[in-house]
Amino acid sequence: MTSFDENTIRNIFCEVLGLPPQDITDSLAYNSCEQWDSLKHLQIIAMFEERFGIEIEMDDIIAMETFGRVKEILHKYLS
Amino acid sequence: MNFVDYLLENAGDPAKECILSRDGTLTYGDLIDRINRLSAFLLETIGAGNECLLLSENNPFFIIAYLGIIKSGNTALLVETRITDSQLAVIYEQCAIRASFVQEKYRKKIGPVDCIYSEDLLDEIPRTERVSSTQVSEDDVAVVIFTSGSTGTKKGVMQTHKNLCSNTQSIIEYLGLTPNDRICATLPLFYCYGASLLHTHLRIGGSFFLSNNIFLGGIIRDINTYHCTGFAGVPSTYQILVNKTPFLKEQLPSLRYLQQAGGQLPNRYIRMISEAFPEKLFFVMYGATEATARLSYLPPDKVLTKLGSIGRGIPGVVLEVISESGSKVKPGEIGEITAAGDNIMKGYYNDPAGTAEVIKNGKLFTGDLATVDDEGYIFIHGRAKNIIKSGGYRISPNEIEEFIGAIDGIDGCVVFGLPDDTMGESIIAVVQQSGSLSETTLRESVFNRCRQYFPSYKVPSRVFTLKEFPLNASDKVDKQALSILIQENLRNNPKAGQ
Repeated sequence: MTSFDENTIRNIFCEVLGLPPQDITDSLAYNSCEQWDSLKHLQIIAMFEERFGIEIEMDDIIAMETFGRVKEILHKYLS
Repeated sequence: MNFVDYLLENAGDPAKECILSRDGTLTYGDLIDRINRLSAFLLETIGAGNECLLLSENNPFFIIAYLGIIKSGNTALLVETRITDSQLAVIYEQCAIRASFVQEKYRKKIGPVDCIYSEDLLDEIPRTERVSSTQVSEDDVAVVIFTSGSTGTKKGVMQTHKNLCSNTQSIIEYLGLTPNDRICATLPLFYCYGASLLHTHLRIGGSFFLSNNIFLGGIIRDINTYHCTGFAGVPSTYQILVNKTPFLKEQLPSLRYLQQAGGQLPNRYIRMISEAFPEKLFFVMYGATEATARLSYLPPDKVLTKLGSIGRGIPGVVLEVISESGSKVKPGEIGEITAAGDNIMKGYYNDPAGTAEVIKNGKLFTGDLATVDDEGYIFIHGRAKNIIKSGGYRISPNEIEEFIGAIDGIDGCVVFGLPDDTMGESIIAVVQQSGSLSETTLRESVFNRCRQYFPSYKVPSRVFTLKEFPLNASDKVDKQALSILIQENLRNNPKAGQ
């Protein structure tokens, strides 16, 4: 397991959603971001699991609806 | 009869819940009122007989706009929300769009055109006493669904009021739907399968739960919380649920049945699902946008004894497997699936030549190759049409091949699908290298260019390089040999090509 690293998380978002780092703010939300759809979400989760060597539980995958929440939840796995 | 009048003919109690979501509920009374208001508004502003584009995710806005457009005697043009800006521009060029209904989130995809309406319009239209339903001829086009054709350009499938009424009735019959049924709907409504769920549940006076989850696993909670009786998915829906969620261990007490269509779900998943839910009915089905939605179903009690079969034609459809000579195949012989019935589309939008290729003597030639067993059950063996089905999307390999083949340092490219546990099929690209770039650099370059150009579902999941492609007798690239070669490679090294 790797330790929590906000930059890695942000880079994964940039890579999958094709957005520049400055657009990835805590308030970036699944509901309003055109690029963030359910298939991309699955891709993001798979990359977290691979990069950090963790397995994310289903309820957490569902709760990751903003970038801020994603960080909070990953903190739980990586602390 | 106008299709919307047909759908709402059986709406009894106006207080009955009709469209449910986590954001609230529309009763039948609410829905009918909203549709009437929008229909009256359209008749006053643009009249009837025009084309209206609809671009939205699944939400009440989509449903009200869709039904309001059709009720007013206009035609709803449905496009996927991930449509590229250039594909959308082509549709605006080719069609005479008089009004566009676009979810606010996607508004910037639309250029400067007249009459764009978003969610806020629905609150602004005043109440109306006039119930504005336009008389239509049954062969008038109610809906055009833009779907990926084998060449990569979008084909508009024209569905008439008669097509839609007929297919809706057949589906209700074989699923045995009742007013107590409530579907948990995750499939997009701009896709014929998703739309058929809405149609059948309105017609029967049932209810429709809009399940919009960031992750499909959320349907488990939704089915239980909202007491859904039915669930529908494409192969990737079930593969994700089986592989990534505790779906098979759930009880789902309210659920009466499950339905699957949209491509072939591998047999081991069909077996796992029917064995996990022996008390529930599991319908394996087959269809095509060109047939409004549905063509065949396998009765649930045959799911394990006729494993992998798409069943037989639904009520009102004559489904046959025809040999090249035009006669019905003998048991075990391969032929093409053809269909006749009131659900077969009027044709492709503005494409009589394309229509003539698939509809001959009133029969739809589906492009699917199949055999029939001695009891009449049909088994699909492949597609004559060369389409990859991944993540619920129909993807043309030609478009991806052309794009990658044009990248510097690449001589040629072949794209095909391989079975994938999550996506149904994953997209594999094999490139023929011409320059001196290393394999890794070339692969990175292909991935990067594809990610910039294509929506994510069209980006290959693996890229392989080869010096020479295997060729068949007529000197064309032998895709089958190539596919076997790559599968062998993957058995030795599961991470290859990523």
